[in-house]
Amino acid sequence: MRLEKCKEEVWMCNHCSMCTETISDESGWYRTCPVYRQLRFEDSSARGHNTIAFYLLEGSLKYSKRVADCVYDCTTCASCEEICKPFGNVVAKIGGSDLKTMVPPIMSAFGAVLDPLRSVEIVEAMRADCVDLGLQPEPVKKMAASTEKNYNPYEEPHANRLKWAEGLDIPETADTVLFVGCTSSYRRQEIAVSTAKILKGAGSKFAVLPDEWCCGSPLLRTGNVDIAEKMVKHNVDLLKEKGVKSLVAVCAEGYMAISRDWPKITGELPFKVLHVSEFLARLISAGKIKFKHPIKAKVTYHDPCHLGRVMGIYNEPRAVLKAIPGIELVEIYPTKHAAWCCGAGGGLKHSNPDLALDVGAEKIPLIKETGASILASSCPFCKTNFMDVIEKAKEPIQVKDVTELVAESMEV
Amino acid sequence: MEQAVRERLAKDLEGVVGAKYVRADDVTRWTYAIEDFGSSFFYPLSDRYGPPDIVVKPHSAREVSGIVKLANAHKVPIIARGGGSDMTAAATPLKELGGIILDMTDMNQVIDFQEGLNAVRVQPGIRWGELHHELAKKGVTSGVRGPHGFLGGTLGGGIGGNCFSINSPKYGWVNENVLNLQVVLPNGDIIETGSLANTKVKDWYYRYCNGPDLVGIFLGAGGAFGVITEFTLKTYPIPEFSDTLAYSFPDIDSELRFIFKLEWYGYVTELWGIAFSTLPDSLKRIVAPLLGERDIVVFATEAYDKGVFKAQKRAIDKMAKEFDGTVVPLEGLMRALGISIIDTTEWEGGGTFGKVMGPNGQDTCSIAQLLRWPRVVEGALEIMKRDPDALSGSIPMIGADHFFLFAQLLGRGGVGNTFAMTPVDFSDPEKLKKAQELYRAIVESYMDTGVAALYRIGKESQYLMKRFKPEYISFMKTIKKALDPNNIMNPGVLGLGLKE
Repeated sequence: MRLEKCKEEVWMCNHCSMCTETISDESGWYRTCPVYRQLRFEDSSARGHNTIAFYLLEGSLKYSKRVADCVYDCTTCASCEEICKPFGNVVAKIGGSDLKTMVPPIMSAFGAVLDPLRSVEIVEAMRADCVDLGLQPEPVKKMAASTEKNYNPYEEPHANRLKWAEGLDIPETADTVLFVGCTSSYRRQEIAVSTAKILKGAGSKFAVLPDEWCCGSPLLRTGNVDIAEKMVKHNVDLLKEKGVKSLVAVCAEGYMAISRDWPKITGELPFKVLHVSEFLARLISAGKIKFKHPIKAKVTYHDPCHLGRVMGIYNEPRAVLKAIPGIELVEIYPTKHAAWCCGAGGGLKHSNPDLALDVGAEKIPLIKETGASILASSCPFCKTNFMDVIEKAKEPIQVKDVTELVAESMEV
Repeated sequence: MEQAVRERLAKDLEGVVGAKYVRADDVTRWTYAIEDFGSSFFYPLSDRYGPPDIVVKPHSAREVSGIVKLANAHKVPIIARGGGSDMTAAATPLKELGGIILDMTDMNQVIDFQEGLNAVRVQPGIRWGELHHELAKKGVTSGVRGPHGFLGGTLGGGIGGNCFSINSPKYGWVNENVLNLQVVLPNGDIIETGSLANTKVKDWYYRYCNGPDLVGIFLGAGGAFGVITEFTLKTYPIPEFSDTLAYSFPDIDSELRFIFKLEWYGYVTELWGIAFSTLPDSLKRIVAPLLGERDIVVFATEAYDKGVFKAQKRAIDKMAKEFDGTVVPLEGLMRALGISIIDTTEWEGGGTFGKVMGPNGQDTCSIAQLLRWPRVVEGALEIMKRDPDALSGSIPMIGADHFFLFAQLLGRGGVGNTFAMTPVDFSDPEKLKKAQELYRAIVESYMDTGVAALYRIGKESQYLMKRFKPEYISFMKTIKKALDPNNIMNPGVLGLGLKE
């Protein structure tokens, strides 16, 4: 059982219920687990998943289709881990999300470990066991098979990966490579196109790789570890072969996988990794991006879970939005470390699309409360799910990636 | 319960609450076979506890009544559960009996708020964080801020379990703040108590009228006599002025006498007391160079008026000096950081206990008369020292390799709460067994030296019943028999409802 490696972690769960459902005005939380919010039984919360793990390890429960259904009903949004961080809430009260991001590495230097219970890792270990036992949901199985065959989860031919770049004249070799990712390559091409146009407009030298494969994140999140490792090793070998010095990830998911998961599989990476919002913020600071057209709109920003809570990037996307003339950036509540998930993560959009929509729909009243007409994000998964949610709800809210707004204002 | 019977009963329950809110599958059932982990390593691992047969989520008193009637007809146990963070297994089924779990967390509404009456009427599944959020909109507070379980614990679990709370030194225990109840009795009848017993009264909340105080028998009863479906809680204005102060004392006697007087005079809202001699060596090494080998009290004081607040702080300082207290300069730092000891639920991420203190296997609590507290601690310490093997775990953050024991001194009238924890190696059955024996011995010593061990008397303290006076047990059994002749209401809690 792959879950065995998490045994001590499972024992450490205090079963306090903070990860299940909590409101804390002082530290900015308004509800915790987005899936529990919908399904309402213990087995749909992190605490419930930890209990399932406990009884699987102890022997009272056996892996089954029902266990698989429970553990796949999770967006891996990591709000459970965020609220579990020891003393995290008082740190948030003192210095908000920024201090919360800074404190654990500082304390770690003094030998104090302030890690939360790694509930997402426990879920992913149970999912890996489900894959080994052939219990993963059919759509996830299909997604994994497609990725193994086509190097993308969408059953699209690999040859079409760079179709979005036709006519843009982007080289295949440069020190800086744009890691576009599957969703921006095949489903949200407008994000890939906007990003490329911005970089060209700013005079940046960059390449895209026709033989880029899936970053592996959807596979790792859904327990398809072995296929993920193949993807990661291919990408790392390719980037090494090309002598790449820095990699700019277009999507939040890819950025998390490359920065956090890849080194666990291949060892330290020989290149720097940036999320596109970090890269754009640097270009803006250096005066390389020239905005021409003001966007007169109230915009609110959705923190993608894997970019914010997991990777600690909250400020750069906001800095980029604030730099665009005409935009009035308004904060949504809850935000940053306590932001409400879009619903698409962790493979949920594949395994249980209706639940993914229900989770995302919880955010509509929060968006409306801000008075914003545009919901901006930095993740093509989030954009896709919010587009579906808003279309279903027939709300007059536009969903745009930060890169699209920059490109629009640059008139590129 | 046999599968066919379970399926039939589940079908009947679906008729009451709807199919969406009834679950009888193995996975759901096992996720309700566990509560707070910190204290309860023995019940998930013992033969005594097990999963319920069915889990139901009701949304109204009428639905609860329908469920109770069905349970009575089938003579199946029924266990109301809130946030699921009780430390005494009060809401975990006994393996030999199983039963129906009523997951009350969807009954989480604020029913009524009356400014003029200083009261809020809520359903029991509301979580502490939700209540604070709703009351903050009205500019008031419930005073009591919530117990262990942090902000995810429900109020219903708190009142059923007789919990203390953050801010208990000023506002008393949670149950001291309860005015009226709505309860579904074991026969399915829905009753209301106090002023609400009058058919003409809909929205006036007073406890002590219309006959005896029938609220009391349901509070702290763990659902043994009925299921609470609504209740009214007092509310208070939010004090405008608040500071966290700290003093150190040369010995535990001086510290306790200061605390007693501080509480008696009503100057303290929330308080932590730490006795140097009970700290593990690793913590002693940190504390001693900073503050000396002294006993420390950290507490919050509050007032509604600036002048009163200043005078109150002067009076506290004078009082501390009476007992050789020395100021610990914490006030300015806490104010600069914008935090208070009152926010203790905010301080702790959920992982504070599990991850910082390690997978602790033992976590015992007792309450006792404040001035008797050293005797309680000495008794527990002596027992802990008997078995070094059981103390061989580690506490990752502070690096302690033995027990961790401190006191949170709280409650009106000087009640002391002792809280002992021992990390345990769960994977070693021998060490686990020793730790379990140690736990029982400590809890029994609390009962001998204090007033109540595990003041939340769930199912895990049944062996303490031998300390209760026979007349007391007999009285409780008489009430139980009269209200619940079929013993369906959470059998085992308070030691009631089991075969002789």
